[in-house]
Amino acid sequence: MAGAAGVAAMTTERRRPAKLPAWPVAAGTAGTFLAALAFLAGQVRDGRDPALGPAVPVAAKPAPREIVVRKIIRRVVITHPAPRPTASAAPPPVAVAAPSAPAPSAPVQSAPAPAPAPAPVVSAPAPPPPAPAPARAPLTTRSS
Amino acid sequence: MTLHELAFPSMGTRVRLLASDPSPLPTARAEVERLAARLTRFDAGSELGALNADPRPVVPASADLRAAVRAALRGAELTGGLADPTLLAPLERAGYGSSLLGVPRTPLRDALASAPARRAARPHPAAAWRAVEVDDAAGTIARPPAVRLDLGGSAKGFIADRAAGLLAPYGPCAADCGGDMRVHGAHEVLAEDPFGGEPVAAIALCDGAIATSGADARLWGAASHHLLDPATGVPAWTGVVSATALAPTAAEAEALAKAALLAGPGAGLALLRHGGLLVLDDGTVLRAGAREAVAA
Repeated sequence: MAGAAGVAAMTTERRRPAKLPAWPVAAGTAGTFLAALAFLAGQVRDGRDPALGPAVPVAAKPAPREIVVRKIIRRVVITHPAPRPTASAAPPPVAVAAPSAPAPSAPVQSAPAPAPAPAPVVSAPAPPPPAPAPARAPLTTRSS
Repeated sequence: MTLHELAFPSMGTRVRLLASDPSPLPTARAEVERLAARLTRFDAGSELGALNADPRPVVPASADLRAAVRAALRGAELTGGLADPTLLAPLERAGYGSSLLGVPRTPLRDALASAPARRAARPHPAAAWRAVEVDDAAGTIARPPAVRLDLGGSAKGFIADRAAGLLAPYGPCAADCGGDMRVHGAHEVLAEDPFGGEPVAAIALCDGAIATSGADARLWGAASHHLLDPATGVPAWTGVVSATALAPTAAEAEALAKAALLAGPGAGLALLRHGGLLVLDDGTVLRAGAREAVAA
């Protein structure tokens, strides 16, 4: 009797496995789908659409044209003979000092003579440029 | 700032061209001499001489002559006919038929002592200058053939304006044709005393013009000078011996100065709408406007 009771105790305690919930399966499926979709979208964005095959260039880029620039420089030197100074020649320009303000309160004063003009850049003798000089007179209005 | 000067005789007076850059001075001088040769009445071969001798009522004219005549007519318009460019015949009758260069000048005080009673000048009632028409489209000047033009006064201002126009792109400058002056930039101009004393005023001038008209410049005989009363055709003695006018252009300043002298002391000051001064027979200086900086 004691052995039969022990067998009964062993067979009546079988436990049924717990039923898993459905949401982990759904979440895993959706995650897998989204991962595959993202991967394929990246492929298409990069131009490697698996349905179309590898990208083929539409048109080859033309090779840059070679441009040769030729610049022809002609140097022409014009020389003028220096005129003879005559007694009736016009007086050379002279320099006067002008006020820098719009409304000066005193007559214009003579300025010191500036430096001589630079030498002319010509190969032949040319008439010397007029030499600046102090003013001969201030501007004056008078009957004429 | 340094101004370079080129001075030379022209139009019976002394021309001074001043510019901060000397390079345009020869070109401006050539322009002055070219216009002076074209507009003088003392040369029968000039374009003005040919116009005055032409019997046709409508005469082809160059753009220069048309512009100079137009400037003279504008001066007449501005002054109500006191600055009249059609007084050549009376001028010749008064003894100014040829240039007075080299002719001894009567001292001003002697002329004042011999002059008739002072009286303001008046415009000529016929206003012959109104019959002069400039047609730029046709390139002609129309006037009654008996009307001859004298641009002696107005041409100096007109030419000063032209010369200054050539110099101005290079910076501050002044073109002075015997005292009729156009400036670009700021300058000080002294007004000469017609009696030979110290300058009567120092005038600050900026981007404008100034001109003086006076009986002292050309005096001959007992009391003859070149500023005629348009109504009578004889030299005007109005009580003013010299008038200085400021204006936007030298041509306008010249007309206003001449008209101010002819109008006499009272009405003359009113004509100096841009400023200026009058010197009376006794040396008194009357000022108009507020642009004079210093009076000597």
